Order: sequence, then structure tokens, then C-alpha cells
Amino acid sequence: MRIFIQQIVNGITTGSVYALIALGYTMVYGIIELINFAHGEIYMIGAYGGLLVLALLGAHHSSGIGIVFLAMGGGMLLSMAYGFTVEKFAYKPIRDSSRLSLLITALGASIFLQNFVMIGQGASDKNYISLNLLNTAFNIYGVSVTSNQIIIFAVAVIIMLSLDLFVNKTMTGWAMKATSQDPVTAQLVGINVDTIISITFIIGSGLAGIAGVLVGFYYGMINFYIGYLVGIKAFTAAVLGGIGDIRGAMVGGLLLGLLESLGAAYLSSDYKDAFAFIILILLLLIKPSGLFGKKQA
Amino acid sequence: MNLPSSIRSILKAYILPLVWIFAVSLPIMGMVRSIFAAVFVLAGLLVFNLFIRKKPRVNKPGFSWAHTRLSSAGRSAWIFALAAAIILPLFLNGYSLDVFTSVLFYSMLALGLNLLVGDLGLLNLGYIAFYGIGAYTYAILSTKFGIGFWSSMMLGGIVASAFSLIIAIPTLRLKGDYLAITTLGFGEIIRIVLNNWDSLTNGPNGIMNIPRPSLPWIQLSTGIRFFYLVLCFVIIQIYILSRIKRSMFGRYAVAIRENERASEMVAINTYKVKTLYFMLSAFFGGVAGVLFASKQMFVSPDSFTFIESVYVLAMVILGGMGNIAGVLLGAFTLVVLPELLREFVIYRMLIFALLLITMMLFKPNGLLGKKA
Amino acid sequence: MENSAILSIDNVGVMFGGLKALDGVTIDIKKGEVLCIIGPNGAGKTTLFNCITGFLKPSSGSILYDGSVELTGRRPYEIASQGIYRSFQNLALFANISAVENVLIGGSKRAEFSYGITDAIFRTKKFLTMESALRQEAIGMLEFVGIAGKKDNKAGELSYGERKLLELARGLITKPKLLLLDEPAAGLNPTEKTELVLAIKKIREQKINVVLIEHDMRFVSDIANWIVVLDYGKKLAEGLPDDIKKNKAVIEAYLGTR
Repeated sequence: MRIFIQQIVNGITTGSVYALIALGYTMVYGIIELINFAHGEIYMIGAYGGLLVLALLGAHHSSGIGIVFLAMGGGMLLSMAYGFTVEKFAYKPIRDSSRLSLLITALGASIFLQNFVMIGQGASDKNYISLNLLNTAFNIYGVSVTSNQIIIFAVAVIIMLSLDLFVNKTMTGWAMKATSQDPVTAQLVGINVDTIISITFIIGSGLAGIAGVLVGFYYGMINFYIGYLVGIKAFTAAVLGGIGDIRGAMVGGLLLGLLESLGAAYLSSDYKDAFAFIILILLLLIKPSGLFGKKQA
Repeated sequence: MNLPSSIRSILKAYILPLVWIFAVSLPIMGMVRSIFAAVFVLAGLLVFNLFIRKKPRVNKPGFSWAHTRLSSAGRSAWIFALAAAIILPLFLNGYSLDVFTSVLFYSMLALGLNLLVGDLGLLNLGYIAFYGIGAYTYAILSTKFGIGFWSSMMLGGIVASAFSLIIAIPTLRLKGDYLAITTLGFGEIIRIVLNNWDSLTNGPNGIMNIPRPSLPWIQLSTGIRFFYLVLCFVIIQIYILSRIKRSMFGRYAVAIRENERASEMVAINTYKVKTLYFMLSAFFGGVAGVLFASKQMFVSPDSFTFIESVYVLAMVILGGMGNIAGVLLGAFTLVVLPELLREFVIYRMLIFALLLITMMLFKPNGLLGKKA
Repeated sequence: MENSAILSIDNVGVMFGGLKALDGVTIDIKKGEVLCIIGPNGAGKTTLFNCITGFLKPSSGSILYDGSVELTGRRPYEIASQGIYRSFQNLALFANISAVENVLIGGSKRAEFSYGITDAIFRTKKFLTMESALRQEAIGMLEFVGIAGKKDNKAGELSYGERKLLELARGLITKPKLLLLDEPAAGLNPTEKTELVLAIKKIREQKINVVLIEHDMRFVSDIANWIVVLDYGKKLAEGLPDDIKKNKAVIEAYLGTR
């Protein structure tokens, strides 16, 4: 039982990260129907952004909580800049092309960014500083919860609530929803579709960047390759919740984190990374519109 | 402050992107490389605006419909290529021969993948998994059960197409995007299984001592003999593929690629055709895998990573989707070019990625592809 | 009496969101007649075609083909292989291949032209005979609709009228028993319209049932034996062309005076 609860705690932690990244996938897919393969790399770049801020500010083991948020801010900004750039330079020029061309371009963008970072930052792992304040472990009936896990979960919840408010309560949010439902009509009623697409990429990338920094602190090290696997897992999470559905992506991310963590503990830890894809294939077989999705053609 | 509009437009078109790219690159790349990146983007923009933009862009990747008869120029090109493939290896050293054998392996893969990407417009991002399945099928059958090369050949293909059904059944009914992501996931699953099922695959260490194929009258132990063996397979594959292409099965694919709704309307079971193509494509991948294992005499999961799938895909795209000659050209270029550019090995993948993006932008049908 | 119907549409309803696109429509299409469906835009005519051909699953009702085959819930290709062909209002051709190849694809599914994949690989005699017979017939179909001269042109390069005729030829080679034409005359010039009327009359002589959606009343009264009027997803009236022209409700629906 203790192991079970411990795995739930771990699963919620990774699930929160998946959810943050899945949001970017689902928002972009909702608006231009593109699987943005480069999104995983945007997350990875966020992790490097956080690292740069930590180095610039000279973080040490006993630095305060402020430095965590500054690193998150740095990662977010860098990811936003890259997300925006990828959209403007790679996707926008061929937005009217066939879906196949778009997918291949996204794939190219993903490989490009991976190697870009590898060249600039080197191929070896880079270490995140281990902050004392993040390593405080609370022992609750034998289940260990670290302050790091609490921060990840709290940050994810706050961000997701604000995003939900933003999408449902602001004009820009409405414009985003309108564009995703019918871009032609959206244009007719005076929405600048280009701007909305840019905003969508920027927001989605920012969320991924924050996730990158959170993961950097959590695992203590990063490299240019971390975006690949997490990226496709997060996409699976987005499909799990019904692609295009923002709340679905949040639930899908958490669910995937839980399933993976429990599967690793009770089925086999060697195959941990395969669970997500097995779930994806089973899901498409049974309910392709996602667990909570409406039935579509 | 009012700037003349021409200056403003130059600012907007060139200076702004230049500064932006520099600023974005700086944190990751450092000063020198960022300047380089910015200049590179500026050059790209200039070339694009001055030479390319004026022409109307062809957006939709097309396919080339198989002509019933080759033009005489086309036929001489084929004969020339075949003659070169037969004669040239006699004069090559061991290293070059290895490179050219590798061209043949990638040609088999690219031709197999082209059935999906080129003919049907479906993206398979885990194609290398079928290569791996074929290779491991032979590795396991030969080292554990003593089954020979020639019987494993068919089995390798059949096992690969049986596995392909795992993907085909759930995803081919859905939109193409799902296929891209599930095949990607499938490729990962296969790699993870190969890495972890120690009792069957010997995990990350791989399987060694895989026997070379043998014919009753000839030993296929030397590099050059093996080259000719693979060449025979490539020729047989080209033959089969071109025949299929010029039959009603090829027409079904063209119909689906062109207009899926209309295909259903003339009673074509689009799902069945796609599944058939998917299995056929996997079959060729599996056969190539058996050959590969027998050449290397060793298999390990490292040979079957995602980036290999992307590489094969790039060959299909570069040469000309749906066009057999184009696909061969793509395989040739993408194997030989990196060998020539060895000093730039660190930039190789970066250039490769840029190539993918620019191809989609300017020539989505590939070098030999027709204009749609 | 029921046996004489090639298609019995019974109480078919379709909901889009909260909107009733079709509301309890019942139509019997008798063998040998040319039936025409008319009605203002948004009346549900194309929706009805989509239901018959399996592109849409009706939320209620049934569609019985040839007295025994239930069509609802089947996939489009299954319905097509029953011998039902439809044309699309805005055309659905294979635009980048030649006209004759478009027709070839239409005929490929017929049993008498079928061969296996091994026949194709080894170029067997069967393959060669089938292929040349099919090509012959395809060219014949193009001659029938009068565009044989354009057989090697890409479908996308033909004029609008020619493309409509090509779509018809592609349908005819499937040997349909029921032909559903969605606004075949729209966009045609007067000469092409006359040719189309002639073609449809010839088709009827071959015992192929024809159902049309059309706006042009003159065109309709030229060829239709029976007219069904749809309005707001409901059947407003049905009858002989001359009776429909005089029907008060129909005139009001068209002029919008209610």
C-alpha cells in the first residue's frame, strides 16, 4: 500500500509535467491541426534557459525560492522565443501546404533544434544545481514527498487554472477558440488569425519551457535529447484527453503520469517508456476521440 | 519619426529577422555562432526574396503516375545506372564498397517506405522497426534454431508484415496524423523490447555470430559478392514495385492519394488498400533486415533508432515521392554525401534538418518529382 | 408493390447539433423512374444523398435498397459495391491524372476485370487481357458522354462541364443500378445541358435508375417522371412535374412568402 501511494505521488509529479507540455500540443493542434514535433525540443530549450539563469545569477545550494522562479521565468521566455521563431520561419510559409508537408517540416524543425542545442551547448549532460530548499523530504506515514514535487504540482495547477481562465474569460481566449473551430469565419469576423496562431505558439511554448525548468530541478540534469521521448509522451497525453481539448490535456497528462508510474512499479520498470505508446495504440483502437472526447467522424 | 517606406520594408524584411535570430541564438550558441546564424538567415532571406518568391509556389506534393512506357531517355538512364552498379564495384576498395552496399540497403528501405509515403501520402515514422524485426528474426532463427538464410528471408518479411498489422488495424481508419505518431511510438516500443527482452534478444549487447548466406555453388563471404547479392534483391524489388504500380493496385493507391471520398464512391475499400500497402511496405523492410543481419553478422538495438527512420524518410522525400528513380537518387545522395562531408560531422544533422524544411518549402515533390 | 422500389427511404432523420437537417423524410424510388429532388438551399437534399451513400449516418430511420439491403450504418465503399454511384455537387475527381485513368479506376472494382497481385507482378495473360478490356471500356464510356477527345488530358485541366461529364463516365463504368446526381446541370452552358439531358435519357434506357438534385425547373421537367420537394428537412410535396409546378405550398416555399 505504501509503495502504491508513493507511486501515485511520483506519478502526479511526472504527470504534471506531461500535462504542461501536452497543453502546447493540444492548443497548436486545435488551431492549425499540426502535430508540432518540435514542441518536445521547445521544452528542452526551456530547461537550458533555466540553466543559463541559474549560472548568470550564481545560484548556490542554499539559494532561496526566488531563484527557482527566476529560472522558470528564464526558461519560459527562451522557449517562447523559440516557439515563436519556429512558427514564423518554418510553419507559416507552408501553412497552406498539404498535411504531409507540414508534418515533415515539423519533424525537420525538431531535428534542427536538437542539433542546434547540441552544437551550442555540447552533447554531454549538464547539471542543475541541487537546491537545499527543494530537497526537503516530508515523510507522511512512510510515503516520501519532496518540496520539489510539491512545487511542481502547485506550479502546474496554478498555470492550468490561469490558462483555463484565460481561454474562457478573455477576448483573446475566445478568439483562439473561434479560430480553432473555424478559421475562415474567424477571419471574417475580424480576428487576425496569424496573430492568434502566434499567440497560441507562444503560450504553449512558455508552458513547455516552465516544464523544462521544473524537470531540470527534479532530475538534476539535462541534455539536448530530453525533449524527444517526453515530447511524444506528452502528445500521447494530449490524445488521451482528446486532442484539441485543453482540459482534456491536463487530465490526460496526469493520467499518463500515474499509469506510467504504477506500471513501472507493478508490471516492469524496464518497459516503463513503452507504456505510453501501448496505451496510445489501445486508445486509438477503442476510442480514438480520447477518453472524454465527443464522437467524431 | 517617419521613415521612407522602402527603408521600413527593408528593415522589416531583413534587419528585423537578422537581429531577432541573433538574439534568439545568443543564449544557446554564444556570440560567434549567433552572428554566423544571423548571416545565414539573412542570406537565406535574400535568396528567397530575390530568386524564388516571384515564381508561383507549388504547394501540394504530388506523385508521378506510372507511365505505361518509359521514354527512351529514361530507359537509357536506367541501363546506365544498372551498368554502373555492376561494373563500378570491381574497381572499388573495401571502404567504398561498404558505402555502396549501404546505398543498396537504404534503397531497399526507401523503396519500401515509398509505398506508404510516396504512393499513399501516409507518414510512417517508425519504419526502421520493420527492418529491425526482419534482422532479429533472422538473427534468432539462425543462431537459436539453425534455420537457414533463404527460408528466413520469407519469414523475416512475413513476421514484419504481421507486426505491421498491430499499427494498421487501429490507425489506418483514422486521420493520417495519428498514423505518424503511432508508428513513431511503435518504433520506440520495438526498440525498447529489443533492449530489454534479454532471453530472446540478448538485450543491448545484441546477437553475434549470425551466419552469412550461402549458395550451393558459391560462397557469399566477400564484400563484393555480397554487394551483388543485395543488388539482385534491389532489382527484384524495383521490378515488383513497378509492376504493382502499373496495375490496378497502383491505381487504387493513386485514387486514395488524390481523393479518398471519390475512391470510396467507386467501391474501393480504402482501409483495405491502405492495410495491404502497409503490410507490403513492412514486408520489404523485413526482407532488407534479414539481408542486413546476414551482412553484419551481428545485430543490436542501436541500429534501429528513430533517427534511422527519419533518414529513410528523407531519402523518399529528397528524391521524389512516389517516383522509384527519385527514391534511388535520394538514397544514393543521402548515403554518399555525408561520407564526403566527414569534416562537418557535427553539423551533419543540422544540415539534414534544414534540407527537410527547405525541401518542403520549395520542392515538396522531391528532385525528380513532377509538379502537381 | 414494395418490391418495385429500388430504394425505400423510410422516416430518415439527421441532427446536426441541435438542428434537424432532415426530419422524418420518407421517399420511395420506383424502379425505372427518374426522380428529381428539388428544394431551396439548405433544404437537406445533399444531406439525404450523404445518408444514402454512407457518408453520414442518419440518427433515425432506415434506407432499404432493392427491397432487402439495409444501407444505414454501412461504409461508403460497401454501398458503392451494391451498385450505387453518386456524383458530388462540387466534383470529386482524381485531378492530377488523365481522364481515361479516372474512368479506369472507376471500373477496376468490377468482378469481370479483377485479377490478383501475382497476375500483376508476372504480367500474366489474364492481367493483359483484363487491362486492355478495361481500357477499351473506359474509352467507350468517354465516347458515350462525348469527351473521348480529351482522354489523355489531366482531369483537373478539363473545363467544368467536361469534368461533370467525366464524373458521370466514371460512374457509368461501375455498372450502377442506381445513379445519384447532385446538381449535374449546375454550371453547364446550354449546349452542355442539352447533351446532359440526352445522356440521362440514354442512361434510363439502360435500366439504370436515376435520382437527381436540381434547381433548374426547365431541365427537371424535361427528364423527371416524379418530383419530391424538400424544405427545411421535411418533405413538402411530391408528384408529377406538372402538378408540382402548380402546387401552392411549393411556390410559397420558393418565393418565401410565408
